[in-house]
Amino acid sequence: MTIAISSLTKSFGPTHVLRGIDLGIEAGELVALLGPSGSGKTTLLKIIAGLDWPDAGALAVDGQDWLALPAQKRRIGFVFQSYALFPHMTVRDNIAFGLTVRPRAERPGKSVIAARVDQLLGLLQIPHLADRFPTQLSGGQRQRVALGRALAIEPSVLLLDEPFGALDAAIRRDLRRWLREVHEATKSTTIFVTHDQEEAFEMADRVVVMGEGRIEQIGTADQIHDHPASPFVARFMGAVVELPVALRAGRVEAAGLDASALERRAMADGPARLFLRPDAIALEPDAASPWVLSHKASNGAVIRATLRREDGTELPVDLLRHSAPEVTLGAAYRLRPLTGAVFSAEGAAQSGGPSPLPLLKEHRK
Amino acid sequence: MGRPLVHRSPMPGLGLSMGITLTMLSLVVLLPIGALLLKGASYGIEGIWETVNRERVWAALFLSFRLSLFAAVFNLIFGVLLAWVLVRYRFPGRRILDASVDLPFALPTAVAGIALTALYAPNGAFGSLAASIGWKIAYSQWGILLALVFVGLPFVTRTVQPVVEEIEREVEEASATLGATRLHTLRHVIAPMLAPAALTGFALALARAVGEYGSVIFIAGNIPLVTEIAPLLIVIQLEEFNYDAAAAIGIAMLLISFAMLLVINLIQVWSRRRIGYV
Ligand SMILES: Nc1ncnc2c1ncn2[C@@H]1O[C@H](COP(=O)(O)OP(=O)(O)OP(=O)(O)O)[C@@H](O)[C@H]1O
Ligand SMILES: [Mg+2]
Repeated sequence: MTIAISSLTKSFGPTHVLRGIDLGIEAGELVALLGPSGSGKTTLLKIIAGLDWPDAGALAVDGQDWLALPAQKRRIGFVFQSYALFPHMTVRDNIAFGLTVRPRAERPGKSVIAARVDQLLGLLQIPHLADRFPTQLSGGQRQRVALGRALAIEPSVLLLDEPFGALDAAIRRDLRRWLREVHEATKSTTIFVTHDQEEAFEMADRVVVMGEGRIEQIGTADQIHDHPASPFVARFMGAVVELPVALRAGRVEAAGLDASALERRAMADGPARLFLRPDAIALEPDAASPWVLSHKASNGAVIRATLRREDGTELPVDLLRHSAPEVTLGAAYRLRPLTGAVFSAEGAAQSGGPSPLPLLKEHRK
Repeated sequence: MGRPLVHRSPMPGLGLSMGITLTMLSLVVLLPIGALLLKGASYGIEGIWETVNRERVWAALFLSFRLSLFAAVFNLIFGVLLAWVLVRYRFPGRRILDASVDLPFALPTAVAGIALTALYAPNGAFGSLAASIGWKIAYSQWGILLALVFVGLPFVTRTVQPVVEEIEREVEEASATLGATRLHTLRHVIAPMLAPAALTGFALALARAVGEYGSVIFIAGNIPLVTEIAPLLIVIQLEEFNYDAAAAIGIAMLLISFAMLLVINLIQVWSRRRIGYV
């Protein structure tokens, strides 16, 4: 099923939660909605599911207007962050629910439903839990049941709201891989919400970065990392080092900065801001540089170095302990960024290079 | 060295609090019931049977339990509905309505009885209206039912209300996305979740109605065989210093109540096992 969302807006009273969402999703695609808390991810998902309605805009699935369709008729598989299992039903009955509620004419026979549930229990790797109640399950097991319940109706679209939010890191990793496999097997168009970048990039074909009710950027992990469309995306992707620089002939210049590894930008000369990830900066000894190593700490794999300038500005640099050259406290170093994003000083988004998305005209902070 | 045989509870002071609780329970509940049974024992089973096995007593017992059951069923339906409305809807006056649910708890029952009688007597505000279509409320069994509904309602509403508050919206939303109509969700998702609490409220309302005296005697009219409730019969016996007879009727009520509560409890145990939670 292809989903076409256009100019969707939604406010709760005075708060604008969605400020014009345009998004197209291909049939069979797995798309992640990534964004900080409160950016409107759940609201967008609920609108697609028919559990909420927008103030304006359109939502079409395979050309059909879904805003005219109640949730019951959309054949959505929705997995809630809290799982929302039916507490008074066994795992088996929970999974079968979507099939048993169908009107008599469309309802499969009892044995067909049982077979379908058994098949799902196998796919979910929980056949031994079939007769338990939700309170007798662990978080990860509940998660699987919630997914099984959603998959049972062979949904046209699968929507997952932070499906792994409440689980520990090891189980998250397992379930991620497993969900990806389920997706390969079922090929249902899937949108899942997360605020974990790693999760989004590992699982999704495309990632949609949302911020304050807008789509900031759509792309693959590499596109978003290398060419963030706005300072917001750059910061959200971990480019927390922000340096004022001067642009000259497409190159950025600043004292103690060696930008030779960065590609030239087709941007006008003038003041600009450079966004860097702490782990994408190399340090080279340079007595003329204003940056002095003031602190370093190791976590075993990574050395976190802090560089300090005379005016008190500090910036963090992450060095791989086994491959980066040794650094000494008190010595001066030149910054040699490997990748970075440049935006003009007013904040207008211009990162140069191929851009995966029509850039936003404005970015309000 | 063996392990200690007595496993200590992780809860502090369990022994002490258990002791206090049992003592209080004995003093307040078990001792009076024991005294009642003792009184009955001195009277003998035959004596009890002779007292109870009279038309007037049977009529009163039947009336008491039948109307209590009707009132409790009505309260079950209406009380659950009221709890639902109070939790789920926002309307002007909601807080006042919410607070007034407790009125039957707070009001002396005699006051409630007199007020209801004044309203529903043939010359009262509602009573005259009902009388115009030939419906007599006060001084009939309808009046008794009305009083029993009044005193029992808060039991159901107040037990069910917190459970309604706890039901996640998302459970209903999940049901909707799976294709269930509103009615189906109500019957197969919400009702089973409310059932244990509603049943508890029902049992409480029923027990209260069976024992209710103060409000009923004002509105009932107290005509033997027609509107005379069993507790009134006990009081009448007491006023005639007929303690044995009073105890006998009391024991009869106790046994019937006990049997009814037992059945309700069994239903609860069964439903809990079936539902597997709570
Ligand atoms: N029913 C509601 N009434 C009023 N405001 C709401 C309602 N639902 C959401 N909001 C507001 O809308 C904004 C976006 O909420 P939403 O749940 O979509 O965020 P989110 O991106 O899913 O965040 P999170 O990652 O924390 O789940 C928030 O500021 C929230 O307070
Ligand atoms: Mg959310």
